[in-house]
Amino acid sequence: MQVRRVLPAAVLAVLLAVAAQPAWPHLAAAASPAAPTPAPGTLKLDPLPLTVPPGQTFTVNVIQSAPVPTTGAQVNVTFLPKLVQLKDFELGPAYTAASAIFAFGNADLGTSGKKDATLARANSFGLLQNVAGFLLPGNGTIPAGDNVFLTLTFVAQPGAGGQMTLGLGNGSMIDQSGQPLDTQWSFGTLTVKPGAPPVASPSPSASLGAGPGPIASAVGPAPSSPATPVKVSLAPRSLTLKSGDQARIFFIAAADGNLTSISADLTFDNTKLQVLSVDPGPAWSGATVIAVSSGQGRGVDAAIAEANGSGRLQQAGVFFAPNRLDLPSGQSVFVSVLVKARADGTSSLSLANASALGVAGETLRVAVDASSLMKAPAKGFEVDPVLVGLIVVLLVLVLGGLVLARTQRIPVRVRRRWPYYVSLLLGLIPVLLFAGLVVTLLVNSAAVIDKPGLSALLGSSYITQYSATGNVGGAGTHFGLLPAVWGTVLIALIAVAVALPISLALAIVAVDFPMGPVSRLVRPLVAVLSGIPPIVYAVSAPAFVTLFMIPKFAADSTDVTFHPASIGANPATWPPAGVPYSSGGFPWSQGLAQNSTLLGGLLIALFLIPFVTPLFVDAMRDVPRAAREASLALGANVTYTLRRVVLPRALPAIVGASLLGALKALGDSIIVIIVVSWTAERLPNPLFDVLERTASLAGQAAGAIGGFETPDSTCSDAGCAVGYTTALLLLLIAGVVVIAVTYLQARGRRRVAV
Amino acid sequence: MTAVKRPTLTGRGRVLGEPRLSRRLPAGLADAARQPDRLAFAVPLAVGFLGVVVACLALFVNSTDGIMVPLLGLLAVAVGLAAGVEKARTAALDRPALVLAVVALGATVLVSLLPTWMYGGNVNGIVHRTVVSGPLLMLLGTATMTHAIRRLLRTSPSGQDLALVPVFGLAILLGVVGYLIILAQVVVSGLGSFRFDLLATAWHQDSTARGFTYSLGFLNNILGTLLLIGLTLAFAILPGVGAGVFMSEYPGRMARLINFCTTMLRAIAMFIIGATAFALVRQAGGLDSASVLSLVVRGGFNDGTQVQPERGSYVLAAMFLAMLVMPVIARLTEEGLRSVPREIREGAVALGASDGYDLRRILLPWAAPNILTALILAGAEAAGGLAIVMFLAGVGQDGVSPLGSVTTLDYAVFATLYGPRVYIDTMRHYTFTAALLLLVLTVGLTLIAMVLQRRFARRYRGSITAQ
Repeated sequence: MQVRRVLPAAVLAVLLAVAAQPAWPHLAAAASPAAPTPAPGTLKLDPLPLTVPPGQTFTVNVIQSAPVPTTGAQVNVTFLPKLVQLKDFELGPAYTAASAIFAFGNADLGTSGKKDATLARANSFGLLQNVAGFLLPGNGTIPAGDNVFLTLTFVAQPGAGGQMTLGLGNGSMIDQSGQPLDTQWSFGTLTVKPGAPPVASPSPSASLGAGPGPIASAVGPAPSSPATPVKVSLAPRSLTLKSGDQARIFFIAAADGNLTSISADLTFDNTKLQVLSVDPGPAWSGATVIAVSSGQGRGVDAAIAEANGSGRLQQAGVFFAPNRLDLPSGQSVFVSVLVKARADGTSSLSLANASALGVAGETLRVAVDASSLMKAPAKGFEVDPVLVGLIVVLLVLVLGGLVLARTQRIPVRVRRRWPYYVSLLLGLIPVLLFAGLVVTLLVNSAAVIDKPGLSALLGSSYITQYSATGNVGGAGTHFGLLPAVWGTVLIALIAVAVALPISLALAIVAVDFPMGPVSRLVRPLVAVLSGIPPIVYAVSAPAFVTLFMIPKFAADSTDVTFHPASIGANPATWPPAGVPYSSGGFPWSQGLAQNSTLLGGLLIALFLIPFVTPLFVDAMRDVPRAAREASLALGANVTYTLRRVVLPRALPAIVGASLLGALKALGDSIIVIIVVSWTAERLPNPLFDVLERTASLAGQAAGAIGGFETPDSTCSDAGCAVGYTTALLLLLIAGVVVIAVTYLQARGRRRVAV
Repeated sequence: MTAVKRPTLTGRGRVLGEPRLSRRLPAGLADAARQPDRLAFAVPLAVGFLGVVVACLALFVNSTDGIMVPLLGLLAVAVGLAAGVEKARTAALDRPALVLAVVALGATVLVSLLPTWMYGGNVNGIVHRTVVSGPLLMLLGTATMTHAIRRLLRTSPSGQDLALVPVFGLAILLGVVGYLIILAQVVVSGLGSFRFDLLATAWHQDSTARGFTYSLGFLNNILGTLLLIGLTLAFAILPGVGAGVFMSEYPGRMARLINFCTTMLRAIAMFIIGATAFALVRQAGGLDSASVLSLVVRGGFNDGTQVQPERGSYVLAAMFLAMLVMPVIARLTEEGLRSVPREIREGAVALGASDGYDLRRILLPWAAPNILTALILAGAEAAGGLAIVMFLAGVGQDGVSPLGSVTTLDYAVFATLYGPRVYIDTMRHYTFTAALLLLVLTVGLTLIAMVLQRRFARRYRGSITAQ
């Protein structure tokens, strides 16, 4: 008997342990008391800066410098094909072992593994893509410290002259366990100058500092600048702040072509203002933020600290690895600076010394038109007469009512029924609140009729662009809700399809189908689980990504942060030929970032189970016991009783509960925001592609109203109105469902009554 | 074994009596044991079980891929053979078994034709073969087990009930695995970065001439959550109980209206309530930051010379969270009042108790345990009401006071992902720590509510013989 009790638990434990096997290193890594921020690894170019004469062949090494032993690295290299051409690239001596894998190119472009094609492509676009080297597991490691990862052989173009940035991009390293290291990479300048001394082989002593260097300042005016310069301006033009207020200042760029990098100096009065942070603009989200300090410190924080001492924030800007497909163009906010007013007074702000880089790393001409003014009036503490009046009126009403109740003015009939009147008054509070809610939504969504107009909501793209004032609603903005509607349908369908069978099984086992201790545990367990807030589900996404999404829905492997062996694929034959996704790297982020509609739906399903199960349990328990007992007494077994007696009678209530569950699924915003996306920009193609990131209406509206993903913390008029209209739509859906459920419940009760 | 059966209100097993999956061999199996040829379906049962186990593993492990096709084939063969034996023995065609065998054969062929990785058609990923073969095997395995149990135990009606065990067991196992992953992620990662001083420090940024220094911690978030729970309950208890009393005691058109509105407040997407609060905050943006109205709505803190406005105060957040928890209190109050035995109600009326006396001395004391439970559940709800609070909250570096900037533990989790950049940079490492603290708080509150509910339910059941 003991054995019979223990055995199922033991089997379950073993099954779970095996099922969770890919997570072991992950969980162990999370559990180990590692230093809060491990020292980052660095990929750097050596030797740089470098000056070569035209026609000279020279080599540059990519050095990987890691704090721990590694098993692989990957990097992109950018250069200016007008000045230098890439002749060859080879892995460094640490990778010459027979087991080392050497991968490069882009399967999308047909250059994967083909050196000639890769070189040709690199020399026409100035980008050597996805060069990776790694050792298979169990074949040793690359020791910590500096090692040559890659040797690049360039030839300077005969007859050329000028200066360029030789840069690394999209670099990464993996450690022994296959986990990605925190990796930085660097840039340097290369000058092709007639008469320069010929260079010998690179000396390993020269080295660059970690982190993105001052890219733009090193680049001189290039001959290839397009006709219209990039315009850089500052918004807002004037701003009134009180001492202590914080505000965002936006750097806006208007360019004809795509940009990979743009930066500018901000001058301000540091006695009046203080810079708190420098963030990338929305079109540049994901870009590396740069700012330069001339002191010893490196990185953006050091630059901010220096700026607050000197009044000049140097080279604040953003940088993208140039291989991205969606490089920003047109008008975009590239940097938003959060400032805080230190004291009252007037401060003028201005931009200067701006520089921008194009797709191939070429310097673009920049015109700066930017100055701004900040004022700070002072005001003391004062009491709002309207509010005081309201409070007084309320107090008088309450006190008057009490006094009146004590005197004989109120008829006895009424006085004796005080519980009725008091509970009516209190009970009307939720009614009034609900009415207020509806009215607020109506008022705030009314503006949508003006702009963008009701017909615009039927569009099939939702794209927000920033206008010159840094608000949503610039040219190219679309507020079509169809993608989000479809996302809502997808998410609710996935969630309900997964949650309902499990909940129904739990409810049946808890009420009608005895399964020993399982039956006893269901209800208390579900009650405890119902206390878990949605954000906990949302942040547990990485475990599901590692355990489920990556093994099952893997994509490009040329990004070294992902190791093909971890999903049981052979690295030598990975990715499968012709796989279309390689340019953007591995699509499923292993960190806590947006992932896919499918994962969002699954997590919402888990969130629904403790919500729906008690409703199902109630539905089944409402079926009179007489019906069951009659069935059992007549010799039917439990299966038959369930199928023919209990479930048909509980059906209306079960359908109602399912509807409420679907309502809960489409009303969730937290899980959608964190796991799926802030917005549903377009309809997925094909429509059923749940591996895209199609947000639901609730997630999108919450993002639009709160403006969390945008640099300014309030939404534009049009964006906000669209958000509130979406909220109103969801409210209508909820109303319809609630009425339907009420009807079903009433009907169910009639059917259930014996 | 020592389990003394307490009579329960819950009705668990009240219909079907005590566990019927008896500890003895089911009668049907004993029959089968006497006639070994009936055991033909034992093989499909075993293969089906193996298939379901492998399919469960295949949810997470790609290396199961190699044995999927053989298993599907084996399943088809086993079911087919069993059907053949059945036919030879009883001369009756076992249609479901044949269908199963054919479907399993089809699945075998289909899966063996698929490449290991599938892609194309613009689908945003590379799909592994087990995504197809896993669910197929899971479904076929479960169906086979169910059918095999039916056939094995055909002589025993109650034994036939066992056929549902694989179905329910699988569904429950899948749910349990999902929750175990969630809990493992949050608990393991949360404990990994946990430090006790995080509980005793408030997050703060100090600017010095050479840069910033940061104090890291969740003190203000924890205190803020507790303050918010208290304020929310203070706002919600009277309307909630009042609405519950009205709905239970005075049924009619008005009660239906109240019922509809409280139901709607629960049914609408939670962020709508937060968005409404945020509309007020936006409107208050035009007010002077030191005015009382602005303080109540936006909150603020005095930096020594003047009042700095924020995005929302605890009072405002609590008012709107109260809209979320009022229905919970109303519903449980109503439930408590409905459970007052008729004898007691009639007794009170017969002895001449007035409405007021009845409510104060009889009804509300009876419903008090329900109301207490409701308050605790509402507290847990308020602590997890991020969809409302996220519109209003700040990272809470200016202390915790009712008119200060609202901050909570669940917002801390959110802010490590989407908060101010400095907060993300400094606190990103502690996302799971905050999530773990939040989980402990909300699950702890829920547990307390559950224990109270059980204890009170037992006490009252013992003294009153209702129904």
